[in-house]
Amino acid sequence: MTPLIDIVFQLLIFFVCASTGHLREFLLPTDLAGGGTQAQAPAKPEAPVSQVWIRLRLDGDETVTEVEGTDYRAGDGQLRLVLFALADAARDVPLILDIAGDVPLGSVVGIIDLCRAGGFESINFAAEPQ
Amino acid sequence: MKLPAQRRKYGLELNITPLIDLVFLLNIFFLVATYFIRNDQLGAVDLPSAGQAREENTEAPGRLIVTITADGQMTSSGKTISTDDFALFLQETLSQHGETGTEIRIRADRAAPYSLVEPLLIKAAEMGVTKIRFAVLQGGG
Repeated sequence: MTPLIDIVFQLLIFFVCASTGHLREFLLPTDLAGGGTQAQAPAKPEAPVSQVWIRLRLDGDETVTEVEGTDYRAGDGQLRLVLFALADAARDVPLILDIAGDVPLGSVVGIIDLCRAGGFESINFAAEPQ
Repeated sequence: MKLPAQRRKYGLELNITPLIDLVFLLNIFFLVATYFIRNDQLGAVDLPSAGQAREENTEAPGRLIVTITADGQMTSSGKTISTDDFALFLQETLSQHGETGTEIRIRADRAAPYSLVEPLLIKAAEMGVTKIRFAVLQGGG
């Protein structure tokens, strides 16, 4: 019995050491639309809702999100309401994210997360032609 | 009838209990060492949080993991790579597993600028890879 007890305690120590400080990672799926890249001019905010453009830019240290011509600052609860309302009205309309290069990825993931929570089915990324 | 008090023993008697202990101790040592080496290769980054994060029960056979630190260093399989290297790795993975079997997993620090991630997304879109996953922590949203 003694070796069995030794093994049990050693396994216990292993799992205690292995789990200390370990943060479990999850995945946020962001499937790209099929068909590669497409050249498309940005739609004017006044156009009928055939696509929804969300623009992210950095203003100092703060990320500003522009939705349909209105700016929302980080932590603004209105942004969530607006996006959810948009998703309710046009869930299957393509959502296009136009993100400035200096925007931190944390803000980008936050917006994608908010759009997914709202129910947008198609999230695309705008890019400069190369 | 008088029975013998002690049985006569023949041959050598070897106690293998300490040997078993040592084998399992070495086993656990290599398990722990491998765990820490693997974590070191992945690189420590402060991942962003997302409420819609989920676990994937089925993983794509051709999975390409790219780690991007806040200072702009991009690594894959423990080696520093450039965008061109990423394109090469992606091409190799595509040739082995096809578009449906290829997945790109981006482990980027929350402070890393989007300009580091955008080229990867463009390359993926150009090559027809649509499965993109951002590694995040549960929470927020």
